[in-house]
Order: sequence, then C-alpha cells, then structure tokens
Amino acid sequence: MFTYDDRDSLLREVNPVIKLILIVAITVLVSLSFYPVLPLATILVIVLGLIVLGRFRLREIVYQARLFIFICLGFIVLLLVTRGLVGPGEYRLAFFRFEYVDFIYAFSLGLRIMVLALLSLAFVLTTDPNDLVLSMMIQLRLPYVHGYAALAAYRFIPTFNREVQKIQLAQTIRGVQDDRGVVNKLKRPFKLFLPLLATAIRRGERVSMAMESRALGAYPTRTFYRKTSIRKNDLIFLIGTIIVFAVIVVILIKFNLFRLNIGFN
Amino acid sequence: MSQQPHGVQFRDLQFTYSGETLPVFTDLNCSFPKHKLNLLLGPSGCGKSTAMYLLGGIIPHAIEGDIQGSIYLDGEDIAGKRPQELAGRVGFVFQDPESQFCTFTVADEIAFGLENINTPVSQISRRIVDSLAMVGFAGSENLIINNLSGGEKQKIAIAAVLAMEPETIILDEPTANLDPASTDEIFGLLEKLVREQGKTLIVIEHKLDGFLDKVDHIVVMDQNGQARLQGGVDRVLPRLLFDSKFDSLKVFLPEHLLIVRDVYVQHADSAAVRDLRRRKLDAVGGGNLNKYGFDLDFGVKALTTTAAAVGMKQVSVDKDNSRTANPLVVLDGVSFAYQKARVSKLFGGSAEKPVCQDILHDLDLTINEGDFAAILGPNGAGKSTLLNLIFQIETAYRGKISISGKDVKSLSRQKLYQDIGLVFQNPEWQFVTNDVEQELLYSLKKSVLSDRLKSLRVEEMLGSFHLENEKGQSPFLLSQGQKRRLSVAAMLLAGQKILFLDEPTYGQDYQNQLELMELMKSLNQNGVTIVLVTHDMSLVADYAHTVHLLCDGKIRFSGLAEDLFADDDLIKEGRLMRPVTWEFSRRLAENFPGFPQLIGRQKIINAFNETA
Repeated sequence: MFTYDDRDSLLREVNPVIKLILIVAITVLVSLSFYPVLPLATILVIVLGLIVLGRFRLREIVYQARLFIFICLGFIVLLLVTRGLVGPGEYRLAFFRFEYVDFIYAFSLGLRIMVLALLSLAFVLTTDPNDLVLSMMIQLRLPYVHGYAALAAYRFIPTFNREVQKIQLAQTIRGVQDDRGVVNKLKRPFKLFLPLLATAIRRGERVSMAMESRALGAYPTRTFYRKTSIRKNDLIFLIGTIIVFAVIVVILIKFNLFRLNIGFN
Repeated sequence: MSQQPHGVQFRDLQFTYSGETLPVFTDLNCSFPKHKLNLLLGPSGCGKSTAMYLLGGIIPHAIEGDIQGSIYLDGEDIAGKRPQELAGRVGFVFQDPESQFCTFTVADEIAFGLENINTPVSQISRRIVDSLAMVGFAGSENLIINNLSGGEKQKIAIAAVLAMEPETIILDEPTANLDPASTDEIFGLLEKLVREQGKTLIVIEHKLDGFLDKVDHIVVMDQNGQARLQGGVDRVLPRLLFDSKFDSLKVFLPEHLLIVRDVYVQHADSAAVRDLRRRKLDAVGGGNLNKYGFDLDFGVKALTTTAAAVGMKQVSVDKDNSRTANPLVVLDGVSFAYQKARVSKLFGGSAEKPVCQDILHDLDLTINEGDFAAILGPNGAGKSTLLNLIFQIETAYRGKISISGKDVKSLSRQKLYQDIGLVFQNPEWQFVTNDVEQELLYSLKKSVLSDRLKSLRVEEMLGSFHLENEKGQSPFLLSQGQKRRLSVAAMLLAGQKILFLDEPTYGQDYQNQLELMELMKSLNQNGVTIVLVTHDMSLVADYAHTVHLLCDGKIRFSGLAEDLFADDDLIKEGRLMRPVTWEFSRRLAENFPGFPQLIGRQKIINAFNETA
C-alpha cells in the first residue's frame, strides 16, 4: 500500500499527533456532510496541501491514489445504476430514472471514500514512522516498550513482502497451484500464512532478545535523543487548517450547500 | 565462595531448558580472561550459544529454564540477572544482522541502548560519534540501516553495543552472513577492540582462517557440553593436533590445520605417526611452537613428515573425469533486459539506469546431467536474473533455454517444475501441510502409485532421513536440521531431476550450511543434478565440480573449479577470493611431485590418503 516518502517538506515537519487530530476532525465533518460539495472541497484542499506544503507533484498523487480513484468512481457509478434501476424520478436516461437526491447520495458517498483514502495517503506519505512512534510515546504517553515493539515490527514490512513472494514461488514449485476444487482454493491463503507466521515469530523472538540485551525496559523511563514536540509551527498548521475549513463551511452555508446529516438516509 | 577477580568464569554451571528433561550441560567449568580475545569452540548443539545467552542474561529471562551454579563477572555472581541489568556490562552481537535492529537510521539505532539506560541526551551524540569511529564507520550517522551491506550492518550492531561501554562483548557467529572481505574487516575490528580499547571479547566463530592468529585464549567444548580444553592458542592448538586424547573432539580450525588433523587421525593406527605426534607434543613443552608457527608452511611440513612416516609413494592422482557429458540444461544465446524502467519513469526525472540495457547478453551455458555445478559471479552480474529465466518468472527476448531437450517456453510452469526444483534458504517456505507425513505424501499427489505404495515410499523416505519419530508432528515444530531434511525428502519424492540452490548459506549458521551441503552431496551421488548459485567460495571449493563464472551478463568461464582459481585475471574480474585450500594444495605440490592442484579440504585429504 502507501509508504513513507522521505522528502524535506513542511508537512513532514508537522507533529504526527497534530496530523492525526486533524484527520479525525476532518473525517467526522466530511462524513456528516449531506451535500457532496464539502467532500469535493476537502479533496481539493488535501491535494493542494500535498502539492504546496508536501512538495509532491499532482501526477505522483494521482499515481499513488489510482486504486482509490478507480474504487470511488466505480462506487458512484454502481450506486447510480442501482438507484436508477429501481427508483422513480424526474430525470431519465435510457431506462434509468433518477431523483435529484440520488445524485447527491451517490456523489457524497463516493467522494467521502476518496477523502478518507487521500487523508491516509497524505498522512503516510509525509510521516516518518519513527516520528510517529516517538510522538505516540512522548506526546500521547504510549509505554515505550510497546512503541519500540511496533517500530521493530514495522521495520520488517519490506522483508515480509519479499518473503511472501519467495513462499509463493516455493509452493508453486511444489504444485500448490495445480490443486483443484473450491476447498483447496480456500486453503491456499492458509498455506501461505503458516510459513509466514512461523518465520515472523522466530524473527520477533530474535529482535526482542537483541532489544532486551540493549536494556529495553530496564527502567520505567528513558531519555530521548531525538524528540518530537508540539511547536509553534504545529499550532499554526492546526489553526490554519481549522480556519480553512471554517471558511469553506461558511461559504457553503451562504450558498445553502451545507447540511449536517445525522443518522441514516 | 572463591574470589574471582578477572574476567568471566563459569563455575559448576548447569542449565535445563524449560520443558526439557535433559540438561544442556552439567558442571560447565571454564574461564575467559579479561582484556583478551577469547574464542569459544565446539560442535553444534554442545551448548556454546546457551552458555553465552546465560552470560548475557537472555537466559533465563527471554528464554526460560532452570539454572544452577555460578557465572562470575569480575568476581560477582551474575547468574540469573536480567539482560537489562547487565546491559552496561555485557554486550551481545547476534549472528543475523537483519534482526537485531529496531530503528531506521544509524544514529537512532546507536542511541537506542543509551536512551534505555537514561544516558543524558547531551552525552549521546558524543558516544554515537565515538563508537562509529571505533568501528571505522565515522560519519554514517544519518544513513538508513536497510540500505547498508551485511558487513556494514554488523559494524553498526557492534557500534550500538560499544556505545553502551560494556567491558565484555559476546559475539555469536558475527560473520556467518558476510562475504570474505567483510569477514576480514570484522576480524580486524575485533582485534582492535581488544588491543586498543581493552575490551574482553568472547567470540563463537567457525571461520578461523585469518582469525585464529588474532585469538588469545581458546575454550573447547565437547558434544556433552563439557569444557575439555582451555588456554592460550599455543597450549590448545598443539593438543588438538598432536594429542590423540583429543582426536574425538569435533572442532573447526583453519582449513590447512583441519587437513593435517584429519590425516593424523586417519593414520592413528600407524606407530610411526603416533610417535611423530608424541615428539611434536613434547616439543611444545619446550616452547618450540608458538601461535604464529601454525601457518601454511607448518601444514606442508607436517604432511611431508607424515608422508615419510607412513611411507608414501610418488603421487599420481587423476582428475575426476567420470561425469557424463549429457547436456541437461542448455541456454543458447540468451539475452534479457527489463523492457522499461517501471515506476522511476512514471515519477519522471531520476531514471538512473538507461532503459533496455541488457542484463544478460548472448549468454551460453550448459549444465550436464549428474553434475554438481556452481554459478559464481559478483553482485549484479545477473545471477538472480539467470535463475528467474530458467524458472520462467521472466522471459528472455532472444535465445533459447531448454531442459532435457525441451524448450521451456513450450512447457507450462507446472510441467517445468516437475523437473526442476529450487532449494530455498529457509526450508519452511515450501511446507504446505501441517503434518510431516502429509508433507511427503503431497509430493506424490500426481503419482500413479496406489495409496498403499505411496505410504510405503513415504515410510521409506522417513526412515532414510531419520524422521520416523516425527511422523505426526507439524513440520514447523521440527528442529532446523529436521526441517531441512524433510524439505529435501519432499523434493526427492517429487522426483525433480535438477535442484537449484540460490545463495543457500545466507542467513544460516555454519552447522545448517554444512548439513544442507552434505544432503546435496548425497543427492548428487544418487544422480540428481545440483546447481549452486552463490558467491561463497568455500562452498564452491568443497562441493562444486564444474564452475561457471558470470560477469557482466555473460559466462566468462566454464570448467573445473581448480582451473578457475588458477587464473589471476578471472579471479580479478569475477571479484573472487582464492580458497585457502588452493594455496595449500599448490605448496603441497612443491613438496610432492605430481600432487594435483586441488581445492576443498576433503579432496586434498582424499588425494593424500590414496597415495599413502
């Protein structure tokens, strides 16, 4: 999936905890918005933010998000088709019948998915995993033994990917692909999972031995050579983002395009 | 309690892993003096790693068990202390450079241990700089660990331990995954740490060429976990070589000394050889042999005198030309290039490699039936690509690859894999069931045999690979050696004619490497063609018959391994290292007219014995 892209940028410098707070807030706001205009505006804000503050190019963002763009468009079309087939409505296209609210419904759901995907993308692309764990330990008081366990696990993701490929090849050579029948097909992921798990457990043991022999957990506290903190710039970013969204919401209210949608429709 | 002021002492140490009834060792008594480079030798399974884990406090905490007796560190009994309590006093460097890190950059990794013992931040930077300077890797603070080579990673692991300023450092096979050049560098570094920093080092190591002359003190453990011999190199080495009391000890020594020792032991019945050894041993008492006296010349002399003692005749050994010349795998004018640079192109700008450059160019290669072949070559020469092509994971844009005369392109992958197998570094990867017997039956699922015959075949295989007692167990719960045997048994049942081994020694400790290669040797004797893809020279020296050198996408040499290592230009071009046994064999030939140029310990011993 998405991976961290190490490049100097203002977004990278923002404390991960601040980013997480904003992601939660924006997700709630967008999920509750009835009209698709706010999700659309949010998408524009995120993309602009990634370009201006994150120093990404538009095509890089599109490339990274390609799967979700596809899913989002597919979702909108699917919703429109199902609604159009059953529904009464004043708009006609071939044998589809739509109501005004069908379009709102389809687009706001589809664009919400896109917002969620882009928020995660923006977070992962611009957040050094090391900073994330540090800020969890320092700002959010996560016990440091857990923090470092998570970091050690994260380090293994690339190895993990390579291993999956090797295991697949090893099992193909043994003839796993030739097994026919539904039961065998269902068993296949399980066959991949066992060797992967066995290797991972052993590796986990080795890493924890190495970490304990370097005094992990010796004392209730530890010093931090590299620290994350919440600085003035973080607060500026936080307040700035809130202002941007406040302005968007005010404008939308003015044009009667903002409505909170609590409950199901 | 006796006062033990210096270094590390094990006193009447006994340890039993929890869940086991038999102790790993009882009454282990040995010592490792302070400020010395100590070497711990012993056969696999003798408990040397266990002893070191106990010293580091990893046992009985991260791994549980029952511990009795004492471990003294500078006079204090530390048995049973937690690794965290010992962290500033005993450091531990593990075998696998991949799985001892928990951060991303060099500086963060070195800081990690210091932070855990609450070192003030103001001191951490200085200690990072100092420890990196000590390992000869100054200025690497901001490098990403994952991008470093194996040797560099091991240096960082050592620096991370050094930063915590322990006086005693344990290293468990620190060079197991390193190439010869990095291995030498690490050995040099270890010596420097003792001589210049006054550290006490305890090293478990099997590669002793180029290391033994740096060692001060050796402890030799036997199969039962007893320390049988200990002392300076000048005390221990002569006893291992000349004292028949210690002939049954299985230990590793530099290659040429192993040859001498093997020859002695094989001629132990000869009164002349017995007498010769006794005189040598007596001479040691007079101080005639010091630790620098065991070089290649010593080995040549020792074999010369032995030859005279047993009455060896003129040597004339023929090279082994008994192999068939029946081509099995043939690559004919194969070229391969990646069709386009993938993501880098899309991202614009930084496509470093020119698009469509050939990785393999017009490559010809023939591997004969029944051969034990090695494909050698420097990193980036195209070894992995070559394998990918043979296994049809990639396709050549020009040329033809055939196996048993059939074009691989005309075969489905399923059909192809019935003939060729791949031995992975980790035997677990190929397991597809959760039961040893089922695992073997799986290999026979395509077979037309009746069920009764199938289980007979499986029974037979379990017997010959010593797995009868593990029949109903999960393959994942077997020991490493059992897993390896099971995986090979499964391949054998599938009846693949050719087995490829891709860097088989990477990530394996020495014993596992040895076991795998011995299995391959016996398969080869049973008619299976083996192809090693490796940059490990000692593997090639000991096992390979023919060698193919791959440089810049072309085969530069195909022929006998001995001939390859005779050619200085090829050695340079292929960035190879001449095995020690090659030089030893050359010197032997100067003393024994007609002695063939050989590589590999066993080949030299055999050649010697055939003439004796």
